[in-house]
Amino acid sequence: MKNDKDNNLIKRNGKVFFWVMVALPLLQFAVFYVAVNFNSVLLAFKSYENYTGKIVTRWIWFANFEEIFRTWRTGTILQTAVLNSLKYLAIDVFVVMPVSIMFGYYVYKNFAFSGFFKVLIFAPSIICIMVLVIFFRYFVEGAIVQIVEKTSEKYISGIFFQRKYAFYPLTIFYLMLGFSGNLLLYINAMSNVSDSVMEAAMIDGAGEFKSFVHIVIPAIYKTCVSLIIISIAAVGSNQAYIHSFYGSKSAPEYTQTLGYRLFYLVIGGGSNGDDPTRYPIAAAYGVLITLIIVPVTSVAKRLLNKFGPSEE
Amino acid sequence: MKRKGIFKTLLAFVLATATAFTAAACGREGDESEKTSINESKTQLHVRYYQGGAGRNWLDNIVAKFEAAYANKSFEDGKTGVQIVPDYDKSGFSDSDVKSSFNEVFMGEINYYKFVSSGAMLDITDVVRGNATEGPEKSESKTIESKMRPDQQNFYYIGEEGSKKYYGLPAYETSMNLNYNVSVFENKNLYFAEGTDGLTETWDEAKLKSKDVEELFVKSKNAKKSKGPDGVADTYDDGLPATYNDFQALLTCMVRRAVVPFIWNATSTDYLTGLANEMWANNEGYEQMMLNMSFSGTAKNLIEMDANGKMVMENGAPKLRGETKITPAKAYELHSQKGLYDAVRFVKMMMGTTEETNPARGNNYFYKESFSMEYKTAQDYFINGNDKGKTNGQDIAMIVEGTWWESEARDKFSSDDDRKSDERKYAILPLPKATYAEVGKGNTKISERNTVAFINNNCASNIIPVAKEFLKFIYSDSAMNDFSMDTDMLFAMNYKLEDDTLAAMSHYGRSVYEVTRAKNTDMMEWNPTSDDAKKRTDLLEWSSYGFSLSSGLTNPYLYYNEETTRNKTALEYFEGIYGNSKESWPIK
Repeated sequence: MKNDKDNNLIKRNGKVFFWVMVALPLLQFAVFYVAVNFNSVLLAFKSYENYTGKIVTRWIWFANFEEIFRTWRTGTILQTAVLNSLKYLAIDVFVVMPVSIMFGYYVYKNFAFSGFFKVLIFAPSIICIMVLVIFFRYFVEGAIVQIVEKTSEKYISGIFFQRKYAFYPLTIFYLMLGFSGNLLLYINAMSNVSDSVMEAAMIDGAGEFKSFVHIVIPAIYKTCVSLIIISIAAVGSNQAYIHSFYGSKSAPEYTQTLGYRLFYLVIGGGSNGDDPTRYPIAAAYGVLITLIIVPVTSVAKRLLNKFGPSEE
Repeated sequence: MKRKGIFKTLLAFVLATATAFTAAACGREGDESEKTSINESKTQLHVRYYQGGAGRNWLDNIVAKFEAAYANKSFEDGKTGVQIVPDYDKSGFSDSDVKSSFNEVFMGEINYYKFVSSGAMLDITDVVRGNATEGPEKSESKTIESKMRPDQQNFYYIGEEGSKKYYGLPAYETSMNLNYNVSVFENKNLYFAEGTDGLTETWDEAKLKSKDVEELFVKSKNAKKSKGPDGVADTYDDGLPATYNDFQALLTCMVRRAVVPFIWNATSTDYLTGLANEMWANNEGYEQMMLNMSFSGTAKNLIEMDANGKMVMENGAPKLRGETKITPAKAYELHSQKGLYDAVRFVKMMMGTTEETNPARGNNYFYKESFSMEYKTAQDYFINGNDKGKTNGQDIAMIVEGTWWESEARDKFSSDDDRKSDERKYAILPLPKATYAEVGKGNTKISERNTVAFINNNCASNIIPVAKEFLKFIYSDSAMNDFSMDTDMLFAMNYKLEDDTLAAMSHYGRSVYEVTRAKNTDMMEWNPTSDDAKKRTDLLEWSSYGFSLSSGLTNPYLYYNEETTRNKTALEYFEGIYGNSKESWPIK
């Protein structure tokens, strides 16, 4: 009897302790995540005025969404932003991911200079992004432009402000930083592959390529799926480092992504900084993007899980 | 194993060094208020100031004078005098920064409505409607409010009808200009000679780009000059291009005489849009340009556009509509103002090409690397480029910059004496008129940045009187003269610069005063003036309002720099601006 009582007391105390410990985090989650996002959703259906010195919001229902659709219909800025966002998604999935996996395999297998490559690829993640941007800009605007001029006698005035050329250096920079981001994740996933399985494959005559394709890829497939899903989910917020290159003065329209466009809407670029009268439109964009991204991400996850390679 | 250990240590050292440099690069100066030793016998007033192009010398001088003037004044029991504790750096501050800050007085570039509505700013109506002071018993005879223009009072005096208040005061005035090197103009004889007024009006483009332009310019430094854009002899703009055709002739002459006409920077390409806005306002005039700030009124200078958004021509020139009523729903029609079209033509001219090529600028009129230059480098090249061998032996005639540029570029001069010497003569170029018929019309300039001085709403009640006295002190004519003397800029207030102030300013500073305070110059703020416009401040963003296309482009200079669009005519671009404005205008 005494033991049951003690056990009940311990259990009860345990529950009390648990709830006391999670109360503050739960409250913070409720206020700063749930309430803030709920308020943002509501803001999408309101207008915001503050010119009388007081904040006045009014229900305008779908007017903000109408304005977004008008912008889509009458101009190309949104289409360009969507296209750029999809381009960077494609780069993430079809270039960065495969190359990172291959580098990851190289490092995992401890091939020649693997340590050096590991540091080289990972270095951009350590160094401050603005330092990298400044050096990269100097390199492109100084060295590359001069090399082009000397070889072709053509001077490119303001390469980062030329529709024909701006995408190339921005993409190269994006790739440089993209490789470093996920390398460790792949190496970590690969290290979970059983050594005995790899040895057995070698004994059976499988070369490096077959081991890579038939053992390592299936083993790390779940990690790849997670990263692809994250990339798809982030397509509406990915700025692709545009702000680092162009600041808040508004990047040329052909370089903008959806993420940059939203960021610029909120933070503003003019002399008056962020203008809260833009918040409702930004909230409406957020709602629209969410309504599109959520089902796409869900379907992508199902398809990737259903049709991808399995370890068996 | 030992080698691996050494290698790892070396690698760790390299990475640590890289990180340290990174941290240094990304770090900022420590909080200055921590370095000030507090004098407990005095009342402290904490001042937060955005230390931008204007620098801090002027504020240090005013602080010293204020502390001296109030040395014997007691604001708190047991304390006599005031000690200002500075917190100056180049980082901005948000409204939430203000509300959680211990600083009491703030000066910086902010969104006024946002800060007021979030409760960050104290009501200072009594300060604004009171007189400025030079000391405890030394009030001026006029109110601070009387020094503000009507459009400023409209913007800063806010609230519901019957309970409006002031919460801030406009600080320094800024405008975007073509700033020219007077010494280059003098040494290269780039002034128009007497008797050439209106001569170029009938010249075609071929003639304006030929050696025939040489006959238009003075042959010596002391030769008499043309009347300039104001059409009046013996004024500050004598010899300067009066019309667009004159300006094209000037560009031709410059490139023939080994001068690079322009330089600008890529850090802030919106400076160029600012200049285009200035040209638009100058063409339209104050009254018509202000229609854009209210979305209402009667437009008198609109070009007729057909149902397809194409310009209607009459006798080879744009056909003007009669007076047109502008309402908020129809305010997009203001994007058919003739002044806007002429501004686009001016941009096209600046971005044009010439057969006179030079390694410093290629076949353009602007310094070749302008679209990749950092702003301090552009300033340096403008001031010292030829001396330092950076510009292929060419002087640069004009820089596109704000009125703060010379103060900001202090470190590019060998000393402050050098900056204010007769060898360093820079001035604002009054913008030319589209045609000779408009010569003599006044100038209109825009101050588009809202730099505001205000008091923290959380200021302790015993410090409020000190903070208010400090604001009144800053807005005295004497303190504003000190500001102008040091920075060569002006406060956005009506005040007279004393003779000794003018004498102590640089040539550029005197030019800023001369041009912006001339009787024939109207200054406007780029701020909404009607409730309808105030509800849609997002539409009135100065860097995107005037020149946007449906593709999202907002900067006319970038448009003409692009390889894909540089050969488009001004007409095509203008029609694109109008079409985009009409299709996307959200107010119904």
